[in-house]
Formats: sequence, C-alpha cells, structure tokens
Amino acid sequence: MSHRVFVSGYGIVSALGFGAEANLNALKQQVTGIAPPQFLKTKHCTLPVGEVKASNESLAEMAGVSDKKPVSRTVLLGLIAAREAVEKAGLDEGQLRTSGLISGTTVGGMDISEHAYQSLQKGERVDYTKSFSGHDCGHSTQAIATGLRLSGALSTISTACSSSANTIMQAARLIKAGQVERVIAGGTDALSLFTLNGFNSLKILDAELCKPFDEHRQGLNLGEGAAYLVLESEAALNARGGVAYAEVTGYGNANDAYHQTASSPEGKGAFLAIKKAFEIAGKTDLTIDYVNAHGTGTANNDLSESNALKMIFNDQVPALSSTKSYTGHTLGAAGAVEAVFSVLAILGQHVYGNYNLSLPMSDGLEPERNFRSIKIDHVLSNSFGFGGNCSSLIFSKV
Amino acid sequence: MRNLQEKLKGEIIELLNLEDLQPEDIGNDEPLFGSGVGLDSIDALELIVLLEREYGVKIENPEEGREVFNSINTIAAFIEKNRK
Amino acid sequence: MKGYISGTAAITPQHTFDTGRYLEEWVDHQTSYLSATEPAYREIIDPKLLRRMSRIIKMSVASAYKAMQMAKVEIPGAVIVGTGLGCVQDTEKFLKEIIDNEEGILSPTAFIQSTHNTIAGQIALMLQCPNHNFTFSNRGHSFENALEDALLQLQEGVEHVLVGGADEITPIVHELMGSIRCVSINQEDQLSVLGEGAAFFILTKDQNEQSFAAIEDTVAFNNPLVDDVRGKVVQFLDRNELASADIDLVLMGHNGVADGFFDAMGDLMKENAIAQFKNISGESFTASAYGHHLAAVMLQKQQVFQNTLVSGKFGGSLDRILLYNHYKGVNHTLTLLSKCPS
Repeated sequence: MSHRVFVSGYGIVSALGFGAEANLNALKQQVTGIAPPQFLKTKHCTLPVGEVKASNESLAEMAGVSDKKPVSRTVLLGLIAAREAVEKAGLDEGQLRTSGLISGTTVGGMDISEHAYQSLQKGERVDYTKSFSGHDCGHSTQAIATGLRLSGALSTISTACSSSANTIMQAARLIKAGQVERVIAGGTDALSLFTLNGFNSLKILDAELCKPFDEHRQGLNLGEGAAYLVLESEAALNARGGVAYAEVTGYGNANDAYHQTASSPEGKGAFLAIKKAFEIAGKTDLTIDYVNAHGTGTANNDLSESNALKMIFNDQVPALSSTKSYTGHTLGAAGAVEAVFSVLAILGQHVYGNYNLSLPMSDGLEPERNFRSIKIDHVLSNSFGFGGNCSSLIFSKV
Repeated sequence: MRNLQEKLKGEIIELLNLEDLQPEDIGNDEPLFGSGVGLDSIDALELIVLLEREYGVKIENPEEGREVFNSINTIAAFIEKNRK
Repeated sequence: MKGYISGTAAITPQHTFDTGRYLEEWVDHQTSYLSATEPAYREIIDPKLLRRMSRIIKMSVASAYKAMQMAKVEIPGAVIVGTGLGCVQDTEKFLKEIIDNEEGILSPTAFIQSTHNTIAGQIALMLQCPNHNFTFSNRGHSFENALEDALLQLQEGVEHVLVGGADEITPIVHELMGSIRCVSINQEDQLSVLGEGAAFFILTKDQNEQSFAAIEDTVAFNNPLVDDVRGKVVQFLDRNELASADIDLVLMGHNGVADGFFDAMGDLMKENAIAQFKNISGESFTASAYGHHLAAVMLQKQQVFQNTLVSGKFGGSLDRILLYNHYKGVNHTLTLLSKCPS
C-alpha cells in the first residue's frame, strides 16, 4: 500500500529574510542576501557569506528562547523556521504532539563549541555544561522538538550538503510505507568558523559574489539558514481539513563513489539520484518544468551537475537556476531551503533567476537570468554533498 | 638543492602519512601523482600548505600546483625560484 | 518489518573482533575510559587508504568488511551508518588548526575527514557502491535511526543492507563528556564509563544460508517516565504475540550504576535471565549497536559469554533475546532478536 505525501506547511529563514514571504519578495526583486559577514567574527571579513541578518540575541527573542546558557544559531534558526511551518499548516497542540521531526544538519552546535574549544586550548576556564552539551547534531533536533512540543519520533540526518533533502526523502518514505502520518522535515545550519575555514582550505570559496553556471565561476559562498516542511499523508491531511500546497512525488539518493569531496565529471551519482526520483514518481510522461539546481558555483559541481542534467533530459534541459546565488550554500539546510523555493515556484507559477550570471558555461546550458512566470507542474530539486552523497526530490502541483 | 630534495621527501612522507615509504624510495623525477607515488588532489592541497608554511612560497591556483607537484625535482626548482 | 542478520562484526574495548576467541580473554582497562581493542588494520584495509583514516573510520570499515564477508555480500543494497559524535578526532584536529594558525592557511584533510558521513562515504568509495547512503546522528538513537532505515529499505524491496553504529573517543571528548556529567571521570563517580567502538551488520530481506539471527521488531521512544517502562515492554511483547516467559534472555544496557529504568525492567523480567553489555562496550551514543551485535552472536553461538550474565540462569538454549537500552534516560530502545533458522 502506497500513500501520497503532501506538503501542508513550510517555513524558512535565510540570508534573504525571515519567512516565506520575505524570501519570495527578495527573489522577485532579485536582491541577493550575500554580503561580507556582520555577525560571524572571523578574520575572513571580506569573504562574502549568506548570513541571516540578525544577532544571536535577536534570534533568541524571535525563537522565544530565554535560556541562560548559550544556544547555537543552528537551534535558533531551526526553531524559527519550523514554527513558521507548523503555523502555516495550522497544526493544533494535539496534532503537534503526535508529529515526528526529521532534521538535517552538518555541524550542529559548532558555532558555540568552536569558541569554547578555543578557550579550552588557551587554558581558560570554560563552563562546559553551557558550551559543549549542544555540540552534537542530535541536540538541535531535540531542542527544536522541545520548543514546538513535539512528542513523535525524532531523527537526525547528517549527510553533508544533502542532509535536509534526505530528511524530506526519509519523511516521504515513512509516510508512503504507512509508518507515520505526519512529519516535520527539513534542516538547519549556522555559519561557523569551522565550515568557513574548512571550505576556504579546500580553495573552493569565491572571494567575490558567487556565479553558479557561469563560465568564469570561481567557487561558492557559504550561507546559513533553516527551512522545514510539514509533510502529511492524504488521510491525515483530509482528516484535519488541512491544505495541500504541493505533493512530494519523487525522491532518489545515490552515491557518486568517485572522490571524498569532488563530484565525478560525468555526474554519475547525480544522474542515478535523478533517475531514481523519476522511478519513484512512476510516471513516464512526467515533464519537469523547472530545475532548482544544486549549483554551488564551484567549477567541479556545476560541470558535473550540467552533464548529469543533459544526460537525463537528452540535452533538452528545462528552465534551470541556482538560488544559491541569492542565499549562499546553506549546507545542511540547503535541500530544505530549496524545497521551500520549489513549493513556492509551484504555488506562484514562476521560476527564479540565477543571480550574477554574465557568461553561461560553454557547455550549452542556459540558466534563467530573471524571475519570470511560467507554467509549472513539476519541479526537480537537487542536493549533492561530500562523501559522494547525491539526492534529488520532485515536487508536483496539487 | 640535493639537501632540499631530501628534506622535501621526509616532509612529504610525514605530512601525508606515507608510512610504507622511505625517502630513498621516492625518485627525484618520479611522478608524485597518478601511477608513481600515487598522490591525489587532496594531497595537492596539503602540499600547497606545506610550501607556504615551510618555505613561504605561495601557489594561488590549484591548477598551477599540478605542474609544480609533478616530481620532487619540480617542487625543489619551484621553491628555489620563488623563495625570497 | 523483519530483517535477517547474515553477518556482523564489532570492535569494542574487549576482544570481540576475532570471532574465534570471542570475549575469551578479558581486558582489564586501568584507564578512566575504555578505549577500543583494535585489530591490525593493515591486514584488513589497503594501507594506501589507511593513511588518512581516523580511528572511527578504521573501526567502521574493518567491521563493515568483516560483516560483508560473513554474509557473502560484495556490494550492499544500501549503506547506513549511525554515529552520535561523528569523526571527532578530525574535528578536533581541524579546530586546532584554525586556532593555532589564527584562521590562516590551513591543512584541509582533517576538515574533509571530519564530516559525519565520511564513514558511509568512504565505504561507498572503497566498494564503488552507488546505492542509498545515509548517515544518522541523533544522540542515543543514532544507531536506532539507522536500523529503522535499514528495515525500511528491506521493506521497499532492497535485498541486503549494510548498517552499523560507531563512535570514537579522544582524551578531550572524555574530559568534556565527564564535565557535563555524561560519563565518569574517576572511579568514584556513580556514572557510566565512556567507551568506543563500531558494530556493523548485513541485514537481508530473506533468510539465506548465512542467516543466523533475525531482528523481529524494534522500537525507539523518548523521555518516558520510569513508570511507563513496564507498559512499553508489555505493549512491545504483545504486538509480537509473546509473553515474558517466551524470552530466553534480557540483554540490558545497564552498567552497575543505580538506574530506575533498568530496575523497573529487571523487576518486570525478574523470572528471566538478565545479561549486560556495557561492561564490554562502555557507554556511548551508539553503545546499543554493540548490544545488538552481542545478542546476534549469542543467538548464533547459543552461548552466554563470561562477565555478561547478571542474574537468573541461562537455560542452555537461546531462541529469543529482548534488548533494552537507554541513553541518559532520554533515548530508549527495545529490540526483539531471534535465532535463525528458528
């Protein structure tokens, strides 16, 4: 028995702003959220990042967190986005209590523990309880569940940059299998010195604004954010009279098995993930109208992804763009951030521009340059990560 | 120059944790990547760090590194040429 | 969904990797935490690949290889790993790089290796395995999340799945865990002792010649009251149409420390033989992975190993083992394992 899986709520925080409306407006106005860091205290003060424009104190206030101990931005961003999602879905207390949460993150509470570790190294006294207890990835999931008073099953996925795409896939699989009726799925990641310096040491950060799919692309810009979807079975949605904003019709995960950090030039893993997503969707006549690409802006990813897309679509690649040119690469949150953009594209019947594109790659792909209206029934959203992890999701109009 | 090559071999073995190799196992002209010593692109990034930290020689573009890291001799020559 | 165990291997602070001499010799750890008793990896893993691997990856890859050999599986239909803290050794190493070099020019290898999914990714790379590849990092349910995903994969039609749990300790992790009162830092502490290791399994959809145990059912739940435990266990046994008398051994994650949950379970199952596993594995986010492994080996060998039996009498044969564990009273697990063929 296979159940249909509907998106009945969504919430998002990114460098573009707080909430779906603010994010959509920025994408419409074609204003990027990427700029030099304001809140992250780093030596790399000129490296552009997609930072959420608020201090930890104001985020805590927004999230309704009054803890004395330092709370990671990862938790705060996650709480704000997840709360928007459940409010949008109109879930009451009882419905929340029985909902599960599957959350994705790559570094969890690193933004707090990296500072505590520094003090520890210098021999300064660190209040451990306050600083390290929220380090692990699972902590953020538990904290978000507690904040929203969820008592359902909890799960945390950490598959690098595909983490939250995988949470949506996992939720859809569990609902399809009839194991659960309602899951909140998404991801959250805050900027940290650890990830910024990590990507910098790999020499894949663009010192200027990133330009995915451009012939002269120089790398990615890191970002931060959180996004969550409420996913429900048809029966659960109808029983409470909820609204279906979109349907999750396809998903696929595959491993590129090529290199620890780089993608195979031909996009083997990406091709397999997209192919699996089509198989799950189970429709031979499925026409993808828009591809929200992984499109990080690195030479390697964009080439690999382009090749996979050309192979899948027999060189007739649909309308395509990378919204990372507006938000930066939000790592563990990226799949969910782009899932929300995909749902919004279906609801608004539009595609997003690929910011900062001057000369498209010479391989023939022509990404969208501007926000524009088109007819959209199906959206493909890609997320690829370290460790060869490749995931693709298909969202369809209801 | 000879000393520099020997020093480099020791440093590379230690840095990249090439436990099975002794400095004398690496020929001065032997290719470090691919079939020879068998280094890969992650090692190339480590070598860039080594040259900058130990010798103050910068390689901005990993592509440029490919040629420099061809063999112990090419690395030594690059250091000699660029060292202040 | 049921899954058949056709291969399993574990590295723990005791001798568990060498199946021929399983737990025969007891290692007396004189340290305040239990570090893994590791095999000679060079005989198991290509030395060229070993050079970048931290201990958690070596422990995982070696255990995964051995489980696959036992099950005669070359390319698993899915690779699923649970890890509570991930690759902490490399995480610390890169943090130290950032601090020591003040965000200057940094060596990238530790960063690459620090990602939680390095273990599953590395296994996929070594096996050239393009299939489903997931990593869960969910505190005391990291392995349980992975196990549930593995069973879901089998339900979806995948033939066999490689699933495992792993965590490593560094002296700093030990110090920090101790100071947040997660584990003991000295022997007087009434807290559990930190341990590390990896346990991997091949689960198959159908029973085959290699199958020696089965996971009949598993449930993970959070934040119960001590009084809720009895109800949870009864409900779990009921849905498997079993009474407590049908259980030959209860394997629990207690460790000599006063604990209301384990007391409640012991009270409920007081007629049964009760065994422990954390004196072998120590405490960690993924200690239960080893608990599952030990249950499977006990069913395979029809043996209750030295230093594991806590109370009751081993009746000579093992058909069903009920595993109960919790992490810090928050993340609880119940799994029913059976002998195979039954």
